[in-house]
Amino acid sequence: MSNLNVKIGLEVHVQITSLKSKLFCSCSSEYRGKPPNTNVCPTCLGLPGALPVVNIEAVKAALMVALALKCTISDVLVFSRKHYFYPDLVKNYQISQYDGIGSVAIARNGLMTINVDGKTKPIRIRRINIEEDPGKIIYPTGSLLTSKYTLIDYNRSGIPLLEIVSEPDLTNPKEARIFIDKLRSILEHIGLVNPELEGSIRVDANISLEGGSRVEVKNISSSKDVERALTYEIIRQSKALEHGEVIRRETRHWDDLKKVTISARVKELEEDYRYFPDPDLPPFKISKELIEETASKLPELPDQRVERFMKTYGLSEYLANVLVSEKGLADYFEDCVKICGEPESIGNIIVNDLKRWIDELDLSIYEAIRLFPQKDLCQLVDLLNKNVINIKILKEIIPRALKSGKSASTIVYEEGYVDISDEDVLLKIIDEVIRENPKAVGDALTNPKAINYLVGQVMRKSKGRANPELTNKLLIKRLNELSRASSNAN
Amino acid sequence: MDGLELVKLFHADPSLIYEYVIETYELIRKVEDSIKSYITLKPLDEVLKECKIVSDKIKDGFKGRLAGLLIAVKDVISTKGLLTTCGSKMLSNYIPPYDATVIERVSAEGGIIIGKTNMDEFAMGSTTENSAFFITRNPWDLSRVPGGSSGGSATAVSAYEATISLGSDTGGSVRLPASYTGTVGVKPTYGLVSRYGLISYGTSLEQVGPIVRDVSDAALILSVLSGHDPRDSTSLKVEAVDYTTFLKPIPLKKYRVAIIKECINEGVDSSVLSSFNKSIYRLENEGFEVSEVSIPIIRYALPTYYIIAMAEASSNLSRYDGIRYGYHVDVENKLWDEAYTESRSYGFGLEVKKRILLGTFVLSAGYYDQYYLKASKVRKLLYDEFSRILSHYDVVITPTAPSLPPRIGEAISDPMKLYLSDIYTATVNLIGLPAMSIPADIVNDLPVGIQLIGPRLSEGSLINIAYIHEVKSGLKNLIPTAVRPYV
Amino acid sequence: MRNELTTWLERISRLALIKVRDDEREIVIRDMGKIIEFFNSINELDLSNVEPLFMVLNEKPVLREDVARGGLDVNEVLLNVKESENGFIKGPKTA
Ligand SMILES: [Mg+2]
Ligand SMILES: [Zn+2]
Repeated sequence: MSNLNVKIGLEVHVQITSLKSKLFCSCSSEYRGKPPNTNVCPTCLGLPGALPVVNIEAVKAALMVALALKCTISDVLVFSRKHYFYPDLVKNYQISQYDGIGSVAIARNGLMTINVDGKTKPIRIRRINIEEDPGKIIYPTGSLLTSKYTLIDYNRSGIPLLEIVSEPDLTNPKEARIFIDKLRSILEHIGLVNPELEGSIRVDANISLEGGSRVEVKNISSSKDVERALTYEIIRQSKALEHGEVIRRETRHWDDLKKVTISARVKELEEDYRYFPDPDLPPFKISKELIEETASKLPELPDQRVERFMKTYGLSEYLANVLVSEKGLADYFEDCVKICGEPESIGNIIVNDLKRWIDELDLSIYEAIRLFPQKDLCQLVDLLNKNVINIKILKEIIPRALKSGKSASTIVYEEGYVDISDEDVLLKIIDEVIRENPKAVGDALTNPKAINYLVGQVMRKSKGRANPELTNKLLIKRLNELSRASSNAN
Repeated sequence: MDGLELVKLFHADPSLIYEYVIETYELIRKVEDSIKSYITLKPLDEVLKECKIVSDKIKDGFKGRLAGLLIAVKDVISTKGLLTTCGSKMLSNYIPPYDATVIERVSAEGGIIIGKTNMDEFAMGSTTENSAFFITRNPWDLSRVPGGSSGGSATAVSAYEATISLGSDTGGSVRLPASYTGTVGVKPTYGLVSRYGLISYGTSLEQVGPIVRDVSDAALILSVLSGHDPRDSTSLKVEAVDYTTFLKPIPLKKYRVAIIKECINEGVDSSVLSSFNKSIYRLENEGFEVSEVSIPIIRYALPTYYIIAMAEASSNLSRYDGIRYGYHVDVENKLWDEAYTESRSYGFGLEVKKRILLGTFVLSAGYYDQYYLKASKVRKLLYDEFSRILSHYDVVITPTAPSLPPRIGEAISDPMKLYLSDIYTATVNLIGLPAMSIPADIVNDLPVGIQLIGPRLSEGSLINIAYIHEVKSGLKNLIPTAVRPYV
Repeated sequence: MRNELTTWLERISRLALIKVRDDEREIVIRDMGKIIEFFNSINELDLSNVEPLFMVLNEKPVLREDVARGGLDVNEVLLNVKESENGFIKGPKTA
């Protein structure tokens, strides 16, 4: 893939979910789960004569993100109208921002670094816009193509969005995924985005291959799907190019059920958004004081947190990066460390086991935390330290807890996961093993390394529950007895 | 008797409200068929119920500044539960679920909305011939237009079918019909009166403005309408002013008057010019200092105004697609652009379509710089020029319109002729200044108006000057020919 | 000029989603020709060093605190809607 000279640029639309009200009206920002068209007012329904008034907190949120992404902030806030007709758009123009005469994006020319395979890579941010979310279109048959009409719910209309646009500095689908995850982590750390809410991040991905044109894949709702969609596009486009086909500039949709991209209807309408400054919203001076005030409220960001994790907890750069890639994961880690210390083993368990299972079971970190809370992990670590369970059992309990929803201790005690540390019980098994493996016993008596085979047999007989250290100790003890007995016999 | 005096009577004896309302409806019955001011007139019994509420409140000590007055409202202003058509087939069934801020303010002061007045469709026109429903006739001469686009609001007040009316002024739509009907019309400083609920045509240009029969009522209603509204981002954060304190027959300061040479040299009817000169003479007699200034760039104001108004209109009128409100076509098996095109092509009248198309054109790729951007630059030049002049003068006076009210059908046939009637009024909207049209003369039984333009937020001074002129000219509460037999 | 007008009328009609009827077409093209000529008069001015003014300045535009309040009842929302289904507003096809 590397010789295809892939260029990827992303347009990430993020709902600012931390606000109480919409961008230009006082309707609640909590539109999810409400009956259709019950969360609207004259303004967000686009009724004749209704007017927009800017939610100041949305501006502050955008400034916060601009600062976090090291952008140059405009001295004036200007909203522009972007004109296109579509049933989800109540005014048939979207109040957005634009770079042009009399119009300007709130922030431009930023930078975000991503960590790819242990290497740091800078990705330039072109601009950040504040804009309004449209309503939601439902297809009565479930399919855009076969529905004879649409059903529209405007509850979402007017929810504040940030549009964050990168330069085409990404060179493969994996980097695109990492970019989105990092961006999301930054937004989570700032506290603007509740990642538990579905559809709070939507991505348009632009991709071009050497010898082709720019293709835009619209409306992808997760970083994993962005990676999938871009991989699909690279394969599709490179095959087409190989066959001498021309890749035309077009817009495609991501079908997240079939995991393919589909060409959007070739619009006979040309794109001409006729941007002009929205005369309903006079330009607003962004004062130095406002920027300073915002900067002073900027919390610790992922890059700083990674550094702190390495310094304070002695974690490797890799562990720290994985933990901080999701605020929830990093918080989980720190909560656990607060309860039971042991940052290194906690960090390792979270990254190597917990995270693996979260991904495998397709859970969110928040679902995972509900199923396997911090105190449960600490409890297991404690049992591990007390030799009640061993590391192997601990690794098995995590997926069981995530799948069953039972607490870790229930699994440990009620499902017989407890480590066998009872010497009498262990000795019984050990004696059995000794009886059954005379040859191995002979080897072990002469070569101490051969004892591992016997330990393994004990583990097998105990279904992995034997405490390995104790087994080792008791086996050596028994073998010594045997050795003494045999020399006495001689 | 004007509104200010009526309210004093009503405060003293609320039962007089019924008498006043019934008399007004009686007059409406006699003249409305020939004038046709109203698209929607509330039934008398409904209005009488509202009278009862107001009169009961007065008995409880309510001192509403508009208590009991009948207010006619241009059909471009949203009224909750009351049909609001904008003079368009597009909105012929539209019932707003909310009140415009100005309606809330009028109601809070005890004003009673009597009905919704006819207008040029979406306020695009200068004659009220562009209504989708019917034309409105000038009560001074039924063969002539009343001016527009707030024609119905002007005739309702002029013909005593209401005491006060609200119009909207994007390029002269309050002042022009006021001038043509012998009434007083005010276009407030941009941002002084809330636009919330005013159905947009040219957002950056327009204001709700009153039409009344004398300057006192202008002061009264303006005091109620003006003031900050948190629902309108363009609303100025200014303290409420009681403009009736400016109703003094003597100048409250030494006024310096500027006359724009370019506005009296060419294209003005001689009768308009002589009326204008009479008015200036009257003011000079009162000690006003009058000078002539030249603003050569003003000849570009009208094309500039129309470019900007149409650009904004094309954007503001995008929302009409027949889905959430407005002229609806069946959507099943139709793509959105087909359904929308159908709805918009049938719902809008020809003048509206022309303006949307031209507005789309001046904003479109390849033409934006040449038209919309350039016009915005001329707007800046005009802004600077007027700022300069108004730093030396307190008021600029021009004729309101270059000619007497045209005959029905005369102006509408030629767009350039129609647009030219806004020549003196539209500049003011480009720069957001306050202006008012007051009667200056009656020529052959047709009224002629002059326009007073002041610096930002100088409504008080304009009221004072207008009041002095009114006292000296005696031109107030004029009774047009069509009404004379009945009063 | 006429040809040019006809071409852009096509294009602008598609952008604005407005068609003029065949019997209106001649009037529209004629009037638009006149109006554009009228617009063109501002080309006489040299505006190269002039800043545009898009709206009359409002030094302190109104901003809103982030407070949520209730909006319209669903029956008010549907008051002017001709076709709806279970509270959803019926719209045209999008593909
Ligand atoms: Mg966008
Ligand atoms: Zn709303």
